[in-house]
Amino acid sequence: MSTENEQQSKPVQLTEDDVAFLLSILRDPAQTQPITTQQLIDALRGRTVQ
Amino acid sequence: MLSVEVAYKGSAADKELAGKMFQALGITGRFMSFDAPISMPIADLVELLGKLGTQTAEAVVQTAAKKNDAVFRIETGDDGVVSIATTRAGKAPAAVVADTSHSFAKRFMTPQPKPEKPAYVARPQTVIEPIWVTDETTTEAVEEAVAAAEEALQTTAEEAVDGTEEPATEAPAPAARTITVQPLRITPLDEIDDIEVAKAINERLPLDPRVATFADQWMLEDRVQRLGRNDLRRIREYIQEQEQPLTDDVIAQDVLGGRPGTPEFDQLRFAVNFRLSKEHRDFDFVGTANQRFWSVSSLAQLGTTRKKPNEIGTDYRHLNDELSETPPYRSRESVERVLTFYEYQLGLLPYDLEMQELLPAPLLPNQRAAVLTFECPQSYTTYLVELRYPSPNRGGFIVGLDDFYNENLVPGAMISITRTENDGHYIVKYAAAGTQSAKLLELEDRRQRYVFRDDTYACGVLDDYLLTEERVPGIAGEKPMDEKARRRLENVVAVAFERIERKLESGTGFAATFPELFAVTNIERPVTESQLRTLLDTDETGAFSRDPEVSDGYTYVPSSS
Repeated sequence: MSTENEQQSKPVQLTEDDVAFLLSILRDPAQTQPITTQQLIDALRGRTVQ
Repeated sequence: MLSVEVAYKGSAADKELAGKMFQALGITGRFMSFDAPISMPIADLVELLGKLGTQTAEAVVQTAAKKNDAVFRIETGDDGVVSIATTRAGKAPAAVVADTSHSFAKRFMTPQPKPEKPAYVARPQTVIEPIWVTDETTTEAVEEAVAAAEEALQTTAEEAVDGTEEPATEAPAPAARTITVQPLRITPLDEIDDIEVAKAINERLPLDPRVATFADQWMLEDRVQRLGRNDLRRIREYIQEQEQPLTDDVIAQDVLGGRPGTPEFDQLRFAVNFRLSKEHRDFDFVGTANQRFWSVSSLAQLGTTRKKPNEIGTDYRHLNDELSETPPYRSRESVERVLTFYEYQLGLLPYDLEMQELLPAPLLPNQRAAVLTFECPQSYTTYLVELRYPSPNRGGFIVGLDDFYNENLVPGAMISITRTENDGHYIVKYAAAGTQSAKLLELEDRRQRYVFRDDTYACGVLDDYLLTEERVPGIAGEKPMDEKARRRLENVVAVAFERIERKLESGTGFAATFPELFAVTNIERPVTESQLRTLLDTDETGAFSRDPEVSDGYTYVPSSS
């Protein structure tokens, strides 16, 4: 498993599926407050780990 | 992905813009059916084009759309908003004409005869079992399953054709139904740091019109409270009444009635920021991440009126050469400075490399300025100052410290600016000292002449930088240098030597120490120590030289021509 030390500054582009996933986060009825970028990043990371 | 060849009309620029417009509208309507209208208000389309790298204006877009009326349709809504529409097919959507030939009233009054029902024909029941395809399924296995299903369906169809209209007594073998599911294409993020992921999100997500974003916050656009024309007018008028920029907290509370501490307040604050950011003509964001100030164009500028901001920016242009291209914003804890006469007169601080490392980055792209609060605990006062970010041709500076300087300091005073956890709030302190009196240099505003006046001060100063009559005797009664002369630094430094009036024994020139030259040169225009040092040490005319008899001293011998 990669550690934080192994994370590099590689440019990355989101796919349409990534965008759809992020939109589903924003659409969640339980989400009534604005979401920060860090929360979106954590959600993306949590999805790829599963 | 399906692509469409579209022929555009007009000049080369019109055709190129029309192509970009079609591409931009195509992005937002990529999930719509081929002939469904894709419509966008023209202001939003201009903004989207800007994000995609094409800077244009509403009038230009409208012209391109008119010339390509086969591809675009211009619509005007009931509220007067002009929109541009097209379809994925590359054709202008057909105008919808209300069909009044079939109305309920007409049908009710003229009922059609009841249609004859044909005899029931029992059809053979085919039960199709679904085949679920997982991510591990190979393409070959999927193709085999599809082929098997098609063969089963073909067999069933043939049996139905060969058979009679009598209902079958036995159901044929169920044909497999396959659903081909493409595996999800998700970006692996194991080896990507958060900064790059954030960059990717900030590049891609704002392109979707369903998403609202401001700073580093996100919501679905249709969940963000809308501000009507009345709300915007009240916000604008409130800022004008207060005569200073206001934060989103104050606007949400005082104008829109939000209550801090309630769950709805964060949503309301986001709505203020997102909606005002769309009203470019009326509102300017002049805040930071932690203090989100909004201003209107009719507000008086913060700070001095003795010099125009553009002229100050030109005076500080040389600072841009030392700024970092990848600035480590907010990496420095504090900055210490000795106040120059130029800075004192205009209530300024220069935006040099140290200040760049102390202060925050612009929060929004193209943000020109940021309002900061400088708190002086020694005088129990907080000052509203404006940081003007540098532009390609003008240096940056902080303005609005006139009152702080006049009430507490003199040129030559030592001050420090320290950051706090709030990236918009800073603590400014000066070195305190016992009360002293001296005749210090001033510029008389009415007569525009330099004079020496008695002054009393209680701040620590660097003696070399204190502009007393003994230090600069030659400046009394003089006018500031004219604009053309002060543009050349060599002229200003030469005049500084003459004003210090320490003549060489030979009588051919003048002598001065570096600190004296730095303080006196900075009366007429700002110059950094390194800039002054470079000029004195690399002067090709030979007018300026090191003074061998004085530590860190220089001489100036004017040329005889």
